[in-house]
Amino acid sequence: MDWNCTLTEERLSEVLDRTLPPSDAASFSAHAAGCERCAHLIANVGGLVKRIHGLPLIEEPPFLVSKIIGSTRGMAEQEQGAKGWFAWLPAIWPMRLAMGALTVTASLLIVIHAAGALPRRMAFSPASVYHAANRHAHLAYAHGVKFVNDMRVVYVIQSRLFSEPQPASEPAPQPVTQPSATPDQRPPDSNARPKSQESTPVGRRRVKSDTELAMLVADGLQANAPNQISRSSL
Amino acid sequence: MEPDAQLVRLCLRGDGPSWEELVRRHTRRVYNLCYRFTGNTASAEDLSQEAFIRVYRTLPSYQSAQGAFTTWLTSVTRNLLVDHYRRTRRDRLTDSIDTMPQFEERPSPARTPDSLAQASELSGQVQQALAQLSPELREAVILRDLQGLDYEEIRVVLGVPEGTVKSRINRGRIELGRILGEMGVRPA
Repeated sequence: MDWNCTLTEERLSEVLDRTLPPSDAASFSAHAAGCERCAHLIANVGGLVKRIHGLPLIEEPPFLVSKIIGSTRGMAEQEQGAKGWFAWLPAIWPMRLAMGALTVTASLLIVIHAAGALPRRMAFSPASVYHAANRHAHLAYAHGVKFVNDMRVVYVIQSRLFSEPQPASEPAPQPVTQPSATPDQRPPDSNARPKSQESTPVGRRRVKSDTELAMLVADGLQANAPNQISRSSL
Repeated sequence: MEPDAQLVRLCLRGDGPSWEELVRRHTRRVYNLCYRFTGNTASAEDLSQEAFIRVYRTLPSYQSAQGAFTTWLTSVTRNLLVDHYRRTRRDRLTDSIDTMPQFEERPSPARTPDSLAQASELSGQVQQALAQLSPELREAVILRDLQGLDYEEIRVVLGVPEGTVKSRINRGRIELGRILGEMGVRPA
């Protein structure tokens, strides 16, 4: 192999570390013997590297080790503090405690579910949602119909009470003074209560409240035959 | 098992004294690496502390099968130094000559006063010469000639092919020899 100065520079470390293969080492030696530049380079760099290798390590500041240990100990304590929050976790790992916790949780869930606090899973199926919506719609409709009918009853009663006052010439209902009188002797269209002397004729009073109106309607229902004042007749 | 690896294993089990032993054992090496790279004792001190904090945090990632703890530690420190170098690049560009690092190193004891003085002088000159090298050449020379790592370890630390490692060391040594020669440093 033809050795040259460029190769000396390129393989300087191998030369200095004496790691050149034997054949290359022979070529280098042959070249360096006649090349002042390469010989100088090897001597100079090799000598300086040798001196650098002999340099002792610089002593670190005396407090550096304790400073490092202190800072990392602080980190360790912080980590321990963070772990302390979850120090109770390993206690629940034993099988018995875990099973106990599971049982308690399941019992609570069952109780809560039975109490209706939790939505049932079926309640979210499309069919259930449809049925629930349909049911609520019908209930709302039924409530509405009932309300309208009730109001109709009330208005009809009110209209009859105020639009058909009894004539003033008509004699007041006769109080039942004779216990021997039979119901057949009473006038058929009499509104008066046979057993009550204080009752006032319905048509002559002004109804002031719904309660009073309800009492009057009740009186009327008692006084008349049920088939005379019925919802159908109204 | 390597003593360091054994200590690491104990550290991972939460053994505090093992960690302290690990720190005591490697602080000087880490501090020297930081000092040689930055040329500043205060920065070297801060970076050494930061390096060990990083080591402490990433200790579980160390695999003893992949190499010696020293190599891993050097790799962690070197990455930190590269980060530091990039972080302070702008500051260095605006630095004046007055704020150039002062070399106030204290060589290890157990030497005669003469040799201590010579070593201290040479160490300062080497540091000045290293500061003039490019970062790539500087770290290669530091790892090889001042930290004593072999080529394989340097390849692992730098993450470059071994040929590149050799080339950088060659160029770094030649450049360093030239600078030191200009400074009047005589070879051994």
